[in-house]
Amino acid sequence: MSAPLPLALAAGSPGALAVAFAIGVGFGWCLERAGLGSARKLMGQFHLTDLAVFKVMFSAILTAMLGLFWLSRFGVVDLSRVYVPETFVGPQLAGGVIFGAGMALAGLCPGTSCVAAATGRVDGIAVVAGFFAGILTTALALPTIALFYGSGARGGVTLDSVLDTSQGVMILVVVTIAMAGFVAADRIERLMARSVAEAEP
Amino acid sequence: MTAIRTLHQTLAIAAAGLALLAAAAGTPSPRDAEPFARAGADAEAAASTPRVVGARQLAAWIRDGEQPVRVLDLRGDSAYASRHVPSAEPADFARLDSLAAQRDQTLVLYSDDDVRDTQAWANLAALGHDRAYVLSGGMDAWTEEVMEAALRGDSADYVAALSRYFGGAPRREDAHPMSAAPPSPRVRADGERRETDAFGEPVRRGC
Amino acid sequence: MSARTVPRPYADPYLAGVGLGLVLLASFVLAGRGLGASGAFATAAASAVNAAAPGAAAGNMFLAEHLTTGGPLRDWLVVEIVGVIAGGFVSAALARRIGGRVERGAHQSVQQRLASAAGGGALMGLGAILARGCTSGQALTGGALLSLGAWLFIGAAFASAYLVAFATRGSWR
Repeated sequence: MSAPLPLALAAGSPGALAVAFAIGVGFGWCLERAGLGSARKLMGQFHLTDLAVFKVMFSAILTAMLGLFWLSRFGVVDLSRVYVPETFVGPQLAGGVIFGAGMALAGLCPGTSCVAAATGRVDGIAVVAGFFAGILTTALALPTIALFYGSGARGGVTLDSVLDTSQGVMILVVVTIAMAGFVAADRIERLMARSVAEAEP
Repeated sequence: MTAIRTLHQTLAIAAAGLALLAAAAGTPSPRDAEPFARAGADAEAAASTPRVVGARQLAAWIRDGEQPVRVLDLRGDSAYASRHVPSAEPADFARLDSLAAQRDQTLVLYSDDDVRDTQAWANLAALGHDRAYVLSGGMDAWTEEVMEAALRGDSADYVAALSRYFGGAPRREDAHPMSAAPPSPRVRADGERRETDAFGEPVRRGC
Repeated sequence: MSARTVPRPYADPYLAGVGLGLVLLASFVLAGRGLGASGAFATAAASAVNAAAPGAAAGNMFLAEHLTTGGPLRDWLVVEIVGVIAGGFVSAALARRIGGRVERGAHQSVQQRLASAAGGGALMGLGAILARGCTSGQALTGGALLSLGAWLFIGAAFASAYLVAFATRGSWR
């Protein structure tokens, strides 16, 4: 018997969109609660004073990753029906570099800029507007870099197949690295707080 | 504060435990389903939802050589002899067993009836090979979308280069921009037509 | 400041992260897909272009994929982003964190801050199209699914952000 989840909801149907809205509400709520709607807090990540971005992101990744593995293992979720984003090596590396630079300048990412805008922060609105303009311009100019854009296609390849190991082992590796990161993050924050305190007369 | 620390520690222990068990389990496949039993019970379900690749995307894979693929032609020797996808090999169901053993090799299957390639994909999946694709539209799609590609819009140059690489003869379709056909309805029910993008790939919603 | 207007402190990042992870998991199990943000903007762009010049969007290789029959409000990601805005607003309202302001460094003028915000946003637009997603779609979703490209994106984005943040650290002091 095949797994009952994900739900078979037709694209664009009221049911599918109700789910989308509810998920979005949860997403926005958690981001705001964590303070990620604040550019100042987000920049703390890159100034190494407040590593909340790292903690939130990787706690989320670990939770979803472990949850999906076990729900699949117990036959609740059919993993083959979950869409895995495709890999395009060159474009994603280049896109990452450009995106990271933009994020450091803006102090917000696309999702958090929506939260920032929703809470009245005008800089959030500016990021939203800039992001839209960037998407529009890039889309219209995309044919000029079409060859690069489509290069490095690897389909839905995952880390475990690249490293030739099982998904379970890969999950253990990611969890271990993340935990080490959490310990390091707390240490770094304490170090930075101490050096700031010592710098003040 | 200590309540939160206890919570953190509990979460950390839970995560570590689940991760260790996951590593021991290895695969997230449901533990009580054997591959062959699944093939029997879910053959219909599996057969109607194979992983597909569009003709242009396959062409890009073959040309760029980034994703090494083995293309398998299931139409029979005479059809293969008259024409086939460049780099394809003739194959039949008997060969599938030995092919299935090479789990790391990405395979692309095609035929001209939408049945043999889908069935072959299902057989491979049942044998544990999860890196196979079906060429969406089969040999006809290769002919129409790559060899005799209709060039329109901004992807024209890219598609033309791709087509000529394989010795194709793309034709310019001088459609007025206003008369470009709108994308077909996006319905996800199996068996119905899906929107395709410039690569001929079924549109998968991205992020 | 009276007690009624003091904003509540932010939640613990690990707990908020687990909450976010559960939302992401719910997305996988209910909708068969993860979260996203840039796709919603792409759909909005496609709809805008389509409204202004009907054939142009269909002829553009990127925008054509993001045209939705029935309008942008039938797109999963667009409705999700509407939810993000609603959820963020309600959470902030309950925590008394709503208020018009411009977050900026002490030595940065409002104009400078808004200019970097918009400019940074535009760069993110280019990066997100190349990478087929942003921090929500690639880093969070793709990361949880162990997608190779997603992890490459995470590494590249963080490295680049640290470099640029270091170079511009003066503006936030």
